[in-house]
Amino acid sequence: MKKLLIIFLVIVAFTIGFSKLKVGFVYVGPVGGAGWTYAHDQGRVYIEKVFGDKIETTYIENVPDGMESYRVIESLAKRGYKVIFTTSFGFMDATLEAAKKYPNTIFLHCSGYKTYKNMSAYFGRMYEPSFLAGIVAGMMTKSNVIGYVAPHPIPEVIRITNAFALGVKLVNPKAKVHVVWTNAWYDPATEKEAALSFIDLGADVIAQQTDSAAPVKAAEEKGVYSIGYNSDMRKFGPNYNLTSPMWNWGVYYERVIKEVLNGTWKSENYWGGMADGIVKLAPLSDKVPDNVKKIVKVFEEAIKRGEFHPFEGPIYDQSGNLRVKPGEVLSDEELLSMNWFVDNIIGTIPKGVEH
Amino acid sequence: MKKILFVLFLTFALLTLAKPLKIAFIYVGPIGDAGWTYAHDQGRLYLEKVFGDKVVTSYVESVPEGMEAYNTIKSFAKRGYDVIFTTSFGYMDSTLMAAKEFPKIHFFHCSGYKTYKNMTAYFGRMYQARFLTGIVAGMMTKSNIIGYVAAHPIPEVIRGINAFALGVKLVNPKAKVHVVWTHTWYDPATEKEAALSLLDAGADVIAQHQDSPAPVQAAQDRGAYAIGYNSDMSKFAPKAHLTAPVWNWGVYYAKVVDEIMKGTYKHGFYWGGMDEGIVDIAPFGPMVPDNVKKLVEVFKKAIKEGYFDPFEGPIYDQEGKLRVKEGEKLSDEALLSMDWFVDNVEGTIPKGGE
Repeated sequence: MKKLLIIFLVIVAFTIGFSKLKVGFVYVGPVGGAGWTYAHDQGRVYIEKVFGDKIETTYIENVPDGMESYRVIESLAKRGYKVIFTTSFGFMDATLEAAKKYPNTIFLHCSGYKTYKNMSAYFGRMYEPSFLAGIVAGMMTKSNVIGYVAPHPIPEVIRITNAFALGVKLVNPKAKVHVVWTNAWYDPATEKEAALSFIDLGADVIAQQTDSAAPVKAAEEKGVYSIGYNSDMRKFGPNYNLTSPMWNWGVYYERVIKEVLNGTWKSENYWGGMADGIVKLAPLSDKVPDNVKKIVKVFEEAIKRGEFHPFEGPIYDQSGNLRVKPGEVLSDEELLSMNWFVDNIIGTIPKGVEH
Repeated sequence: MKKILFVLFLTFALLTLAKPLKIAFIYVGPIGDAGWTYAHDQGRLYLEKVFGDKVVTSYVESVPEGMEAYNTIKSFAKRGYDVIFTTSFGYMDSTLMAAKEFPKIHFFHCSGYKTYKNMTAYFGRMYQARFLTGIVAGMMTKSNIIGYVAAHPIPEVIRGINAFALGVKLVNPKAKVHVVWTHTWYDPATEKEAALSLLDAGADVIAQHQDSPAPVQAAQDRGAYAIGYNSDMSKFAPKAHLTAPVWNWGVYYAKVVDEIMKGTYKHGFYWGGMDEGIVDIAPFGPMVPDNVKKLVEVFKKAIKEGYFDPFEGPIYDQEGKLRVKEGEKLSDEALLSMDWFVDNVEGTIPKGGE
């Protein structure tokens, strides 16, 4: 009897000790070599490196938004994946449904707002490094025409565009940020078209919030500076890309996995900034002079320390209304529902668009 | 017997309490309503406000530098003054001599380097405030020609010019800082002349290391901007005055007087910065835009908390030589003996200057 018990215990210990935590990722686009999904996949690769054989990861690419994604999420849950990251806003309701159906699986949904006892909502304060990128653009432009290729007119995109424009204004109030909507997260042809039209207009810095490297490539071909997005896009514009506000999901994914392994994970609504390392500015190119590097470094530190906020007043909108009074800072609630442009942006926000 | 002792004790206690600390100030110029001596006298008035009847203060204006100052210092020492502040570089040796002769008196000498067991050398890191005013000048200039009226080619003044020019360069590397020497601390006519020559050369912002408001007034007359010095000079040129690096001696004077009263003060070398409040910048003029204010406020915090230093590299001199490497900053020793200009300064440092 005693012997049997020992054998049983050994088997249990063996199973626990050697059963890897299975971690699944559901992606909206292809991993590719840059962009939103690439940045998430870099996070996946990072936790594989950190946790070694304690975890096992998989991913599924090009999953359509909406309830179609539910089947994919469910299939991962059924196959024993205990932690599932779903990395598109449009996966939110599908993720919530799966969370309710599989209470022993942990779900983490990126860029939404719904949570459940086994489902976290997580995102990063990309407006922080975008403000820094705006400083770079404002210092580098000579024509004072800066082009900004924007995907959808939703609060996230508007907020980050505004932060960029506020960075420009900090150092160069004469420069204007011209915004064009592509109405797609990922559409290289349209993104390229938008970048080229800005260059025709006289823009000498092209920034973007879309997922492909097409704007960076177009700027490189025309000999115009560019600022990428999502990941470090230097390789697509080795001569003219200045920097990119980028995601660094690995630090958050590492924390989550550590907590799951320790049994301390709790559902949360997480919105981390540069202080946590989840967002950052890619290394500045050699084209960026020392004085600009000094300004960026000091503002990065001030934001990390909470001594400066990109959305601290006075801030005016396009109609000249004072939106943020001197000494005040926009609340997270206001940031998350932003639907107006700051005063140095040229462009309009279409009404009644998808949210 | 017990009663007598008690009365004696009471009398003694009362005497001690009632006896105010006598504090004297030796000034190199007239107090006037701006400038170096004015700023020190503001510190004296602050002491009176803070300590009330616990202190008695006195001052003498326009005391010549050199050993002539010794007689004035000595006369205060003989009249029972407990603390003597001597506020000009040229008083250093006289102060030291007096300190040796009167070991029970506390001496404080401003802007020098000699100390003694009862003598402190004190100064402020004005270069920090000057750097911030350089940011303002760099953002406001349109002609990219910034004039700087400078007194004497000594390390203190050179350091201030460099810090200012580095602030300019931070935000506007195309702008140049043009330096003219007046070889005087205080001479309104010469200061005005120097400012006008810079304005004639196309300068649209005039900064100064001078004690009179003549340069800010000259700038206003020509419709240019100005950055004062020592104290807030906005009243002399409200349309031109952007800001000014200013002294705030009061916070330091109150600190040392308080410690002397408590018996905890120790003499030595003091070089305080913006974090201690001894130097600062004057309020911005209404023409300074919000974005410039934001820039300056953040750099001010960064300097105060030590995550930025105006003299952090890379810094190049006029010959293009790398003087401070990236990631490094100048030591206090290097700052105190500075005899070279940074690369966006136009002007030369006369050799063999006093």
